[in-house]
Amino acid sequence: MSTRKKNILKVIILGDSGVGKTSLMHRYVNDKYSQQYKATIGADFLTKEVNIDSDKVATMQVWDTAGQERFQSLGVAFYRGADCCVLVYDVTNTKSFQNIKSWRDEFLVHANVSTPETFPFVLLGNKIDTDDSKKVVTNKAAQELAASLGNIPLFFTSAKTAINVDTAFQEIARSALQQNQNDADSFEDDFNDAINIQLDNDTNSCSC
Amino acid sequence: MSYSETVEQAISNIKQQTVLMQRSLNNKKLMDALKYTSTMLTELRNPKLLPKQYYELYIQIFDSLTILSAYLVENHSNGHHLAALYELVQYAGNVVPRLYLMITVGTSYLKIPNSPREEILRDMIEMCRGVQNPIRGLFLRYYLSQRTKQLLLPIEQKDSIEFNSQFIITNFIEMNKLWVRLQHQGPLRERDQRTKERKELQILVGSQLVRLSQIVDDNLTLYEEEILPILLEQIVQCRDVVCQEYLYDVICQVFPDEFHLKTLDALLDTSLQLNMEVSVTKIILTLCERLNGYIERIRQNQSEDNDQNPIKEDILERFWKHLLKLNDERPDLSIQELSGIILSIMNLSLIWYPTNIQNLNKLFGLVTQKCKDFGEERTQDSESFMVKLLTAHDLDGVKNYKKYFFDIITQCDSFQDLLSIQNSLSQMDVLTLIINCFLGNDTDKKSESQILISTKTQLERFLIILEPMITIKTLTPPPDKNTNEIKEYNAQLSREYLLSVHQEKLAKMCHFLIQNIDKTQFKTVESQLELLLMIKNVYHKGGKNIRFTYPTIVTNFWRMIRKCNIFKVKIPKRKQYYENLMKQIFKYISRCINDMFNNCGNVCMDLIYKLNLQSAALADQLSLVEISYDFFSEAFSVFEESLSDSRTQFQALIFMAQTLQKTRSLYKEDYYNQLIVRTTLHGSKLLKKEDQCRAVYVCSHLWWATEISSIGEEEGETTNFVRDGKRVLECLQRSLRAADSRMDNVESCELMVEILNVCLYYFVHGDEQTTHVGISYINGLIELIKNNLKSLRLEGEQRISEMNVNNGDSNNVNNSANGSIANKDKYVMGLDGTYIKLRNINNSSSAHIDFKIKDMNINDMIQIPVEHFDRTCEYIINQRDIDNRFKMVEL
Repeated sequence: MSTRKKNILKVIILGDSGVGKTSLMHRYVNDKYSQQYKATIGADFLTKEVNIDSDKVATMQVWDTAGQERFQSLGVAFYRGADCCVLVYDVTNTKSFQNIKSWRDEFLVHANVSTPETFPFVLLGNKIDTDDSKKVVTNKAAQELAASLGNIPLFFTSAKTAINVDTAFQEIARSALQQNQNDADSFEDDFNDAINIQLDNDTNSCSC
Repeated sequence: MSYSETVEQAISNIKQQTVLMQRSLNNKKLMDALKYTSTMLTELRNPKLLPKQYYELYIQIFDSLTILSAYLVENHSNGHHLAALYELVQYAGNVVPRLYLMITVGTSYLKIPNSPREEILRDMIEMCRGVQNPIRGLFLRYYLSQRTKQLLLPIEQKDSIEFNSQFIITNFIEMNKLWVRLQHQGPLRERDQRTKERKELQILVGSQLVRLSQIVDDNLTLYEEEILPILLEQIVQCRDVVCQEYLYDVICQVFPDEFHLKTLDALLDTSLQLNMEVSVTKIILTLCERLNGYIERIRQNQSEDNDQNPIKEDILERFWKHLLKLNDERPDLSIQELSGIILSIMNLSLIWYPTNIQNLNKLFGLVTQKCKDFGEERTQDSESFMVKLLTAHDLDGVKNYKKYFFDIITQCDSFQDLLSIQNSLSQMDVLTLIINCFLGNDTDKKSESQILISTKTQLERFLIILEPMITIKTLTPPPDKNTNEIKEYNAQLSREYLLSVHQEKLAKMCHFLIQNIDKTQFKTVESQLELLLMIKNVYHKGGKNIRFTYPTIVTNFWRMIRKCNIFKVKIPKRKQYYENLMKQIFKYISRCINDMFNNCGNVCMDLIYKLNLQSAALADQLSLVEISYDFFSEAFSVFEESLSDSRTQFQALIFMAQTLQKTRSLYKEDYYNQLIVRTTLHGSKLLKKEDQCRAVYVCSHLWWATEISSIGEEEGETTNFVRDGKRVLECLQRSLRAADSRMDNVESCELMVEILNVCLYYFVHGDEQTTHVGISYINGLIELIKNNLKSLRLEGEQRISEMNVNNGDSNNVNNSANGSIANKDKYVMGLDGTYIKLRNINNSSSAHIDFKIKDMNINDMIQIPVEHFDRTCEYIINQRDIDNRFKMVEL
């Protein structure tokens, strides 16, 4: 194996419309927040250079997705090749919390990941800055859900006031890098033999 | 180079080429890597790919090109100068791979400091014109947009925002052209397929507006003056329905909502220039929803004590003007569409201006006008839309439907106008829904949900709204082609049923209205009475229908009379006033009953009879002797003239006896005596002997008043009521004669046992001298019953032996012989002569009541008086413990 180059980590953010997926991405990548609500159409990504565990460097591609199905008319092919999936709900919106499981299932169905059992998910409860009176999803319920989804990491975040956003994305980056390396190793393993013959032919025919 | 046959092959080819490319890059063989890249890019030339398949390959290739791009940036300074490379890739053979490579190299170059950014960007977007096939062109330009995302001119640079937005707009315009052109490619019969493909591809075009929105950020001037006009121009010019509907939606969704508030006129005006087939309803709905979201978010962020609308502009006025224009310019607009638009605007008004009901009035007025213009041509479909409009179906702007309907009914003239021109079926639907809402349970008890009728005008409006339901004759169900007699009969039944359901709602509504009178406005009973009379007068228009609604009115009159009586006692100096008022109300009641009599004919005589009796009882309780007597005499004339069915007559007499027995005030004149004699006489003249017998023994109680503790009467203390044992005995004798002359032995015996029970009642309640019902009389009666029962049993045994001979089945014989024991069913007889079959199922008994049970076994029938007698004997034996006199009763 050659020395590893800088890794590209693909992270997909999923969740209901209006839970703050775009805001979280903007807070993380640009450290900006806007009060305005704008819908996302299709899938859109931003990249950010990240340091993981102070010794590894990677480029993180954060894919923000449309929560509304009608803005996803071409399907979700962009799930493929993801290294980590971030599930976001709004702590003031029960429905968005209830839908987390179906977002996860939808991801696993379409992402075609090699080992669904170990694929890294991270759960974020966003809008934690709002008045306690408006919060309807309890921390306990969230912890139970995280546990039931295979003890996945859980963070309570606020894109508005930047609570926990960086911490969460560090964990996301770490999980993604781990997944990326696992995948790359297994990929190289089963690909090497299959391709060699063709590779030889190719070099032969082109050596002129 | 050519592309793979199938998508699966294409996917695996791209995978292989990616690995080969990565290897070459690892070995620093860039030229090889470019060659493999070019090979994989060939897959994107396949013209047979459907949009979703193309997207899948595109995503895969995008990821591979990301790897290539990273390598290029890293190695820029080690011999692979990107400027040179940019020139080099221009020599790739096919246009699609060439342009992908060019954009990949170009955008990598953009990452290098001091690269000629503007030049590269201009060149790339210019070169993209080389692909004019819609699907390939759209994806290529999407690639350009994704790659350049974070690499446009930096904000610090002068005029960068203008340049960047221009760059994206150019790309957007070209993409839109490609997208619209796709519709016109290929044969006409594949048009639907094209539309489907276009709808899938739409996000590629829409994403450009997302990019624009990111560039614009919060620069309203730029958006309002530069960007939106261009976008709207593009939308109008392309004349394409799919495009116009979609892009309007996207503009609403991706740009900030406060922008829409500022550019509302432009958005609304442009919507008038769209293709006629575009759904205006959808566009207005989207816009309204967006603005509603805006105001709600602003209110949430506002401090709680500030209730003022934070936005000064009257947006409803703008929508209203637009609506008028739309109505003017598009007379072809159907009622459905218009009502859909109006529903959206109603919701907007309710959310932005919750207290402004006149806005809604204007909107209803417009629909009314439109409906009148269309006249009879309205379809069934449009009716259902009207119902939705009139009931504000599913509007999130309505926080409390009760309050909403109250406001609409009491303040919106046009609501009533619109309702009045609907067909009766729709009117009933709307009214049923509204009434159900008022009658429904209050979920929130907040004071604001409390509805109070505080002026007469409000009540008048309510009544006007209800009028169609009040006056409805029968409902005409939708015509059925194959009507036959049975169906016609069923239809008739269901019409009757529907009518009664509607009228029941009206009756309940009367209670609702009376209960929700604002008592601070209508303090006196007299003023409340006035409101009730208003309701009565409107309900009177129902003609025959009043048989369903007037009982409620009468009930409310009764209630007011009782209220008057309370005041009469409390305020002695107003005694005369309240007494007069009570008399007045009794007259109204009498009028109501007469109206029912005159309008409904024979259908509700029974009801009229009962209302008279109950009014009589009330008047008696209030010591209004003359009034009470008058109602009693009315009841008698109804009985004599109109109640002809023997069963009804019997029931009516029992009711009369019950009512009379509790009266006290009638003693003063000789009224009581007159009435009870008349009742008993009627009882003895009933058609059937058994009815005579029972009616007369019930009437015997009229001469033996009992204490009513609620008016302070006590046993042994009170003496001033009618007790005349001689008359009691006469009644019992008359009863016994009737029982004896009944030919059916079983019934005759049963009747005698019943009379024995009545005798025992008097025996318990007084001594022999006063009641005249003594030991000898009772013993005689018991003797008679025993004899009769004996012959009855004989008859039963005879029947069984006959059956044995005929049947010869030993099992059956056993069963029949032990009939009453083995058989689980048990029969008793009700006090009105009905047979009641008691079933014991798992210890829970159920009763089946019938006048005649056809397949009843003779032995079961005999058991009825036998067991009744046994129970009576048991009672006598038990009484012996506490009353020595019972020891003289011979069993």
